[in-house]
Amino acid sequence: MTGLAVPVVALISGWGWVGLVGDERNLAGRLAGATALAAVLTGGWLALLDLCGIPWRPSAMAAGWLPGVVLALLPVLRQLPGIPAALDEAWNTRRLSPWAAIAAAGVGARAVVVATVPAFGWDFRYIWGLKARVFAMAYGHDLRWLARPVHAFARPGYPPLWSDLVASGLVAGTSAGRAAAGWGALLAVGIGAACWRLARPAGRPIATLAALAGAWFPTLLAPDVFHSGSAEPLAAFLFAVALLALGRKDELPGSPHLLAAALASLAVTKNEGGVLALLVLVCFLRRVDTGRRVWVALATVGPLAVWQAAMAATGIPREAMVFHLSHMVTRAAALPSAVAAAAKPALVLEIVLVMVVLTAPAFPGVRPLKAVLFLWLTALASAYLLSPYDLVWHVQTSLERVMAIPLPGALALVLGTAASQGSRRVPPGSRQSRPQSALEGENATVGSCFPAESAPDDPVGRRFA
Amino acid sequence: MAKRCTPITNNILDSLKLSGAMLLRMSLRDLWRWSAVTAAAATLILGLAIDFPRPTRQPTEPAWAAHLRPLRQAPLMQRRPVPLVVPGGFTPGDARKLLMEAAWQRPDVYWRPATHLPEAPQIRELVLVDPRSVDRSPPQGWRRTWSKGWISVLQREVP
Repeated sequence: MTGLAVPVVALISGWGWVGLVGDERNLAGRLAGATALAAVLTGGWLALLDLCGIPWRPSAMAAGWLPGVVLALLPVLRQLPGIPAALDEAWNTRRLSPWAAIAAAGVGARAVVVATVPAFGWDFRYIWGLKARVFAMAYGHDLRWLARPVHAFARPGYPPLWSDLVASGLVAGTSAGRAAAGWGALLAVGIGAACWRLARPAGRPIATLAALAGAWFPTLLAPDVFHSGSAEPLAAFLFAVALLALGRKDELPGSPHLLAAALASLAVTKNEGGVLALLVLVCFLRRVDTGRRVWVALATVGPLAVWQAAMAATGIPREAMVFHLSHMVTRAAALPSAVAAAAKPALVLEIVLVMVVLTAPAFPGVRPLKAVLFLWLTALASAYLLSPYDLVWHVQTSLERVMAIPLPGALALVLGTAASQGSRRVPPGSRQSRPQSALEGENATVGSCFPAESAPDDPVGRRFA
Repeated sequence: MAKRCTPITNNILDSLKLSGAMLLRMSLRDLWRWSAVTAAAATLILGLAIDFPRPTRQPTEPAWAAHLRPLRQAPLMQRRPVPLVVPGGFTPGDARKLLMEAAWQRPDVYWRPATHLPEAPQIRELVLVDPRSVDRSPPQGWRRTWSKGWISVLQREVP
């Protein structure tokens, strides 16, 4: 369990900051935001240390978490009950719903299960974990190591956030496998919390199902050599948080900051994360307040641009691609059979989930999500067409886990949006007829984002979850 | 046919069409909602089925990792280029796996993959990966300074 120390400290730090960058009162929403900020703060701080030429020592790393930890512990210092307001409220009112308890227990169980087995996947051993060990030994990003052609097998051009998070555990003194397991456990909690929050407008039973399905999503964090310790769970979590942050309109200060943080970190989590972050930015940008659009766009593109500039400056090789028409046409013809050859239960399920999302009723908030998913699949197919590797091998070893990235968040969102819309049979103009989805129309208000706080059967107007 | 009906009949027909469309639309939405919930439940069940053995499952290493594990104790200088000589008896795929594993075991060394002993006189040290190297004397001009299992560290003999 030593691998859990760093993620837990980072989470406490993120919890301190999440109160400042947003006005989320719901525990699950705060937990998802705090988890995202834990990853952003850790990765961003390590990158900043590197840019300033400061070695990644435990003390330097801890300095990045310190302000957030102080912020999180301020209630204790002020002799308040010592727990954040949302938890305190739930505890005092004793209104923890059975559904929330089931979701918490199920998500917590996955986190414990993930934390107990050190990461051991092949991609972890020879890509993510290897680079984390190199960075930890060099006390920073060893760009010279990445630039050596002999290390092309380690995908040196992939943006480094996941390796940086694993390296933070190594710097603190744990092994790479345990560090990845610790962060993986935190990501399981974060995905579960974000999915709960996204699906909450459809009611607690659906939110519970979404949280459990997100946390236990097949292929993400799966205990086998193809998935253990890979970067996809981080990307899936950040995508879900980005969807969550999008729904919070600008009456709530801080939601654009959480969106910017989620997209910025998604952009530097694998190449696929970069594409997904840019697609979210393009398809959802008009839903962001005009004054914040530039900030969100710069935050998304900035880290990616810095990484690309560093690659260009040090000669780090990029992913090989073949831009030849006959090559692409041949592979396009063979792609369906390659997908069929790779069809395992998890992949078949993912294809079904994609169809479910793409055929969701066309409510306003779901349309951009469908566009993102469609364009994402197009980009994914293009990558397979341009790849120089054997198509069947490439599809068999990657499609299942890569396609999983947007699905937990997307499924939770369409469940929360369309299911709540379809289930409501109330006359227009009544209190319940307001948009309840997290991503509904331009006139969505604070209340529309947090229906639980104003549910008619809740006279106090305060609920735990 | 509609032209021959009275306006009242047309209104009734229009209403029926509208109601039918609404019913169809409603049932399609309900169908979608149930399919989405079913898909989410299937996701959870499959995730549990895949993950259930994890508490009893131990991390597994690649088969070739065991042969290179002694590399961790090999006396090698950090951040120095060291040839990793994997003789031609291995397939290119196997040689690549051995290189990757060497990088995992000793990321502090700048490995240079090779299939033959280097001739350049400035290269004074190398690592030889060969299952039979322990039973053989080192190649001429080289002396073995350390060995374990498949791994031998060779240094060029000074004339």
